[in-house]
Amino acid sequence: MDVNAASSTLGLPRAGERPAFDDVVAEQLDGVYRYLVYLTGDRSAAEDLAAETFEKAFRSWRRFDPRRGAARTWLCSIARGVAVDWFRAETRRRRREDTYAREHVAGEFGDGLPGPLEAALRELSPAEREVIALRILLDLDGPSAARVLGISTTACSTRLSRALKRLEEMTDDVDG
Amino acid sequence: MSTVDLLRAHAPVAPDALRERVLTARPARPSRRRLRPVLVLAAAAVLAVAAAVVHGFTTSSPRERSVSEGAATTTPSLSIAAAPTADSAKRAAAVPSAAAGRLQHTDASLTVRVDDLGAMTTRATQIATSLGGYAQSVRYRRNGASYLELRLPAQNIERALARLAT
Repeated sequence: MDVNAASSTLGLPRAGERPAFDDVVAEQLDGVYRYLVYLTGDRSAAEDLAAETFEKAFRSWRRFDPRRGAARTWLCSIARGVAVDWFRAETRRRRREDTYAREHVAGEFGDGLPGPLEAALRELSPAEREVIALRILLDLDGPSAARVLGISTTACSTRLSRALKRLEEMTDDVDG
Repeated sequence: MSTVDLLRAHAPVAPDALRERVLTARPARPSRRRLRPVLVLAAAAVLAVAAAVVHGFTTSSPRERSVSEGAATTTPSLSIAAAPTADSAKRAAAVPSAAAGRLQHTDASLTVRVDDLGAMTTRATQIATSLGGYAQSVRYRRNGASYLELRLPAQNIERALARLAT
């Protein structure tokens, strides 16, 4: 299977077609990384988690069934599980470290992203950033994003609307 | 430019180091995957050996244990249904006949080594059927053998053994 044929199946896979794992890495790494950057708000952690995500994906590659969903959705579900474990460990670490100070790194959510938008993203909750990443950056449709998040399509849509509204309100305040 | 457009335009890109890390630092294959060749080897071993256990159920063979008539009523006798041929009659003649009113049970076993276990198992079943018998059970074992229990008319046992052995 060539790369073009494989990539055509990644978004909307045809029944029975199974892309090569290397093709999936090439096509989906950016998307998974973006999702994890938005979810964690930490590029360094996102890199580690993305690597762990693909390692897990490789180990369970045989269980991936393209007829049941796109590779991107499947990978995001794995990434979410990996990130949840990271959040738990991070929370424990922060509790242990009394001197923990929140660090703001410029360009954490994107290279060249306007400062006010970067700051506004920082103010959103991980859940709000997560739905933005899935629906806007990764272009997952509503049902697929909802499946990754483990919520209903309606709840997913509502969460996205509220997150974008908050984002715009914050950037408008800065602009105004 | 709208907020959504800005987010899309400035989406973070996976660094090359991460791409290289994912592609090159691929973990060793899972242990379950490693086991596959072992299982295949085991399957090859299975194909190498086949055991056929041939049971003859007869009213005429004296070589083995006798069964009471009461037991015989609970067990159908194939030899009654099978019409003996002249050749088989000669072979049966070599065996002392059973006492009248006695149901005899004869066991014979044969072990053959074959290349194609499935094909041989099927052939053995066909041989039993062609000789008026049937396959009572077929069991495939992981140790590389299949065990067939065939029930045959007594007069056809030797013929069955000869055909199974070739």
